[in-house]
Amino acid sequence: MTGYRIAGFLRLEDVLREITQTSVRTVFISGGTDFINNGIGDKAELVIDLAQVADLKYIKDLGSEIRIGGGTTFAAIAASPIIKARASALAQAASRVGSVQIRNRATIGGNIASASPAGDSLPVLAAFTAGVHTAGSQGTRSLTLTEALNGLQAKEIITEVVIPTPGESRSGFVKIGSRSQVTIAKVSLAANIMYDRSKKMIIVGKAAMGALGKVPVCPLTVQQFFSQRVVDEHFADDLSQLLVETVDEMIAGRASRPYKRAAVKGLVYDLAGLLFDACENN
Amino acid sequence: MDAKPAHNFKYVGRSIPIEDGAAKASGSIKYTGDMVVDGILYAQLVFSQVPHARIKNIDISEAMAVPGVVKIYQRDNSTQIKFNSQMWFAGQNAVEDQELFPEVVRYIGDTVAAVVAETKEAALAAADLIKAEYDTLPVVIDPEEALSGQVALHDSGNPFFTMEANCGDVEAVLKTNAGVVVEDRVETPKIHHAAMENHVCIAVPDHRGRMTVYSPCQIVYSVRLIVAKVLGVPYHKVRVIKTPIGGSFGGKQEVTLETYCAYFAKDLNRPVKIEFDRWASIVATRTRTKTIGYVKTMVSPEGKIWARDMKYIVDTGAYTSNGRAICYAMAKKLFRLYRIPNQHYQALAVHTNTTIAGAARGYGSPQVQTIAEINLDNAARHLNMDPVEFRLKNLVHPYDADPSGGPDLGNARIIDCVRKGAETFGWNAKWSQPKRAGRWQTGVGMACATHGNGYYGAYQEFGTMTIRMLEDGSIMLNAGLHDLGNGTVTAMKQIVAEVLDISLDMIEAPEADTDVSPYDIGCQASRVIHVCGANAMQAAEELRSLFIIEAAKILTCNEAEIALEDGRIWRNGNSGNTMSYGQMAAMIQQKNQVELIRTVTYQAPANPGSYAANFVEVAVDTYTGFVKVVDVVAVHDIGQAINTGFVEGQIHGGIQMGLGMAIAEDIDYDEKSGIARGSRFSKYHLVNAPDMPPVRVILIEKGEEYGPYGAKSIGEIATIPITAATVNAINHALNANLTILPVTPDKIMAMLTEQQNK
Amino acid sequence: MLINLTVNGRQHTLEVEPQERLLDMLRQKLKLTGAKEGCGEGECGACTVIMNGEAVNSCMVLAYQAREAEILTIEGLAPNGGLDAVQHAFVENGAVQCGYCTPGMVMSTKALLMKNTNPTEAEIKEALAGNLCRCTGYVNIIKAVKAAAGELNGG
Repeated sequence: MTGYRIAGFLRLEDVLREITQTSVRTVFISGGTDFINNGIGDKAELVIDLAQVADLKYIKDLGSEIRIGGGTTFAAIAASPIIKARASALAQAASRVGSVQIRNRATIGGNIASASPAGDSLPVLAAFTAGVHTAGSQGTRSLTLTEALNGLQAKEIITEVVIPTPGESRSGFVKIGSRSQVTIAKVSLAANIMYDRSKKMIIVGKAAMGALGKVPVCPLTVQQFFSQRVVDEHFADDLSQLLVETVDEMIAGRASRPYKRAAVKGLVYDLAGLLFDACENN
Repeated sequence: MDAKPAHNFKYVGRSIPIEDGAAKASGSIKYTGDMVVDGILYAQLVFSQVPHARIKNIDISEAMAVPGVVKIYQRDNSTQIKFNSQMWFAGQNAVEDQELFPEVVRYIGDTVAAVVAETKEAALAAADLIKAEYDTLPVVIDPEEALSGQVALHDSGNPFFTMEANCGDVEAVLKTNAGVVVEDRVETPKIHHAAMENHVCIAVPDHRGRMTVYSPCQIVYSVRLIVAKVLGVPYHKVRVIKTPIGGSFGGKQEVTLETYCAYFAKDLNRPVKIEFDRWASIVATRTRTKTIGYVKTMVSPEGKIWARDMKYIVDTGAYTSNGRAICYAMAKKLFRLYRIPNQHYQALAVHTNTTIAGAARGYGSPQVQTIAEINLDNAARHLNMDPVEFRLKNLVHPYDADPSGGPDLGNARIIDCVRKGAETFGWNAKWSQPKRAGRWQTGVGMACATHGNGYYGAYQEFGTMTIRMLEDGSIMLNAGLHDLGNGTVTAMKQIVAEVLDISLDMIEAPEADTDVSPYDIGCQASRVIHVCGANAMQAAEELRSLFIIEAAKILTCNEAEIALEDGRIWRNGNSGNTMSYGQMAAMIQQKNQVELIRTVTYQAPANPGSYAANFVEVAVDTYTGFVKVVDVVAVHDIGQAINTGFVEGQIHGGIQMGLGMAIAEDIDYDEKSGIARGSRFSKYHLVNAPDMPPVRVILIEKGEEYGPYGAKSIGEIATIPITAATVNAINHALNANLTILPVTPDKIMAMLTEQQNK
Repeated sequence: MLINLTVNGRQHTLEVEPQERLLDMLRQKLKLTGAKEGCGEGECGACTVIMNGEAVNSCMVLAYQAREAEILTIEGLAPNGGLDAVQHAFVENGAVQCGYCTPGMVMSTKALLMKNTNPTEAEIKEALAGNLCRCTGYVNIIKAVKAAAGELNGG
């Protein structure tokens, strides 16, 4: 049996005071949907429960950015009018995390902290070039998603996720698993674009693929491709080609490569459906 | 509850809700894992982490130091008696190659040691600290590789068993080189039963030296047999009580935890509980056999099947279990669905370093019939013939004989099933619909199946029941019943109620308890409705006769003058003066000094076939390989439904299970490490609610001579035809011949990629 | 350590271990054995209970995390082992076979209907996607949820 103690607080400042004062090995639990089975608690002397820290749960629209508290659940994100309107890809990803029961507990901060390659929110955050704010015994830090995924410091909490929303963008998230719902992504794709509807042209955009490695992959080739690109009948096939190249590069030699590269086309067509057809019909 | 009284029945045929439904829906029913026993100890098995090795040394020193540990068992301090966990009757000829703690572990999940402790947590913590050292042995995972015999797991070699069955002369027909010969190799995966309740058992010793085993099992008398053997005690020292079961599907048919539990309880003279987690239920209990079939079918240009030659490689995993019996069971089905004058069947059973295979809903029947039905679709395709039309030319007719010498098929209504199903499904239009280009390709497929109704023709097939009318008129049916959640108890009550014309709430039919239930071979072989139901019916009829005889004495009239209805009895013509059954039963006791009791041993005289045809429409995403099952029509020849709702429920659930075998489920062992990839529900995906298709059920109810009120089995056949029908639909959609099940998205995409590259 | 919580309307102060899961606490300390463990990893939903108005997998929540929470379990839906509208609909529509998934299915249904009294079939399936059943193929379960919703909407 592991022997950790557990403590919980209602305010972030109390959490921060505790981690500054304690000298024991400390880890955090939030929703608990990863924590309970991933063995993180085995090495800890103290577990701090963040699930009831009220000031980690919020979604704020500041105009040029959206700020999401690290303790916000995926159920809350999926249901948020702000997220649906301004970062719909994140709402889509949030609504496809696990089951209802999981979404009611799992948090966006936890998704980043657990850093599962298949984490559904991660490619969306990458496509939005989201930032991650943390707080810990060493003070606060402002990290890129990649930095956050590559490892937090000891006793460091994800307090906030910042999604830049400089202008009106369109975004979408799609994934492929072995079931239509409650399934771990075999491969996922998110994109965020500025789109000129009258010209049917992407002005600028970024895409990210999930489940190819520890960190979502944002191919530079796709960003170049998105720049001033008219959405014509070749769009999806051209984008697929670029993403296939990405898959080949990222997971060369892996047993999962043939399927993932073959399925990319489906992802791209689904994504294009979300980004364009659906919007055009509105 | 529906309002449909089939024919003129009062209780039979109706969709009466399951009798313990309220207890289940309120959470108040106690499953074995919910039971509390004073002073109970917890046992945790220590599983082998290697697929094949001789155990060199087991270090228990750290584990012993865990507070609360009572005793650690391993080979040196335990019985080494050998047994076969699937034996269900005394004197059965079965290879006994299992031990509680083998010297050589043969799969990941084999038992190395066990910790018994005061708490579950202590047992688990100590088990984690036990370190085994191994001398590793060569490993074989692939059943076809096992055929070479280079890796033998037991002295019986590899393959350890082969058998053949025949009718006509296949070789002679094949030599003629006439007609079309269609050959296929089809592979079905190892499947986990996935009962939501994991395996669990409690054993309680008593002051008389007896052992009571509480087990959610399918055959109490099988548990008694094997537990008594392992304990080295006579049968009367073991009492087995069948507890409420959270699903089984064959997974709890064999005796797995009961032996360990009882052995530790006896040794320590304290109650012991073992409860598996999902990993252990998947990896360390039983699975469906992986089966590889080579089928060669010769058809005439007009579509008549002339001959079929079949070879099945049956992977029974690390121990023999039912490896021989299942080869026989598989053979039987293949001679009872089509009129094939010349057939040859060969089965080769192999051991591999994987989880032990055993009983699994259908007992081999889903595997072999899936393989055969995929091949038949290919035969139809070669002939450029509609697969429905092709099957109709060859299906058996009512009262056909079994050309391999088995019991007659009875009122076999498979042709009705196919006709009715094709019509309801709209087969003709859907089958001939021209292909359109595009991402989603739709296809339709169908398949037929047969299954048995008990053991008649193979083993002894009988049971005994005692029925009593108590002195208030209520009824006790005492029998070795095992309700697996499918409604067996309710169905038995419906049969008794129909015979005695009494409401269901006046009948009690407790489940099996070896101390009080007469002998019965339990819930297996699709025998319960056809055999136990007939037993209950005969017992109730004899009780009714006795009641009438005794009542006639009370009413001083002829027996023929006695009338019974709705729990009341009177003398004909005197209906103004009726008595309740209870009033009469009390008077019979007082005046005639007779107990209204009958004990009836029923020997089944027949084993007809149950039949089914499933029709499936799929849409396949050619960009991702995802298969969406759009529509299912399931038509079943069941003679007569005792409870229509239960029959439909079996079919719905059977389709969920068989769809898993078609497109999703596979325990999937790594060839080198022997590790099961699908050892958890996050890695072993069952079809969940969003992916479950709508199912339209049609029942053909044309009666069966020896079934109670004409009833035949449904539980096992319900899962058979859907698998091949779905694969056939996928192959129709893609104009492909995918034959390695499950047909997962990666296999579909690999095939499409290959098609493109050609 | 001691935590306070309300389970099925009754306040409790309970001593819990740091590693103890909500499921263990309910089953062992409060003897509420309706919630089951089917997988221990949040995949099967047999352990579903309602916590502060939301369906959760009680195997994925530490008991300590339920401090000050309001928990509703299958035992709390109707008094004295009776049946509420959802439970009744399950029994009447053949949605109960072996019964092992039933408490979780019922609680997921309850959580859905608390928020959405007139769900579509797609919404029902989504609400139950995290609850596995091997007996029923979900067909009669979905039928029961619709019947329960109809009942709650006044038939």
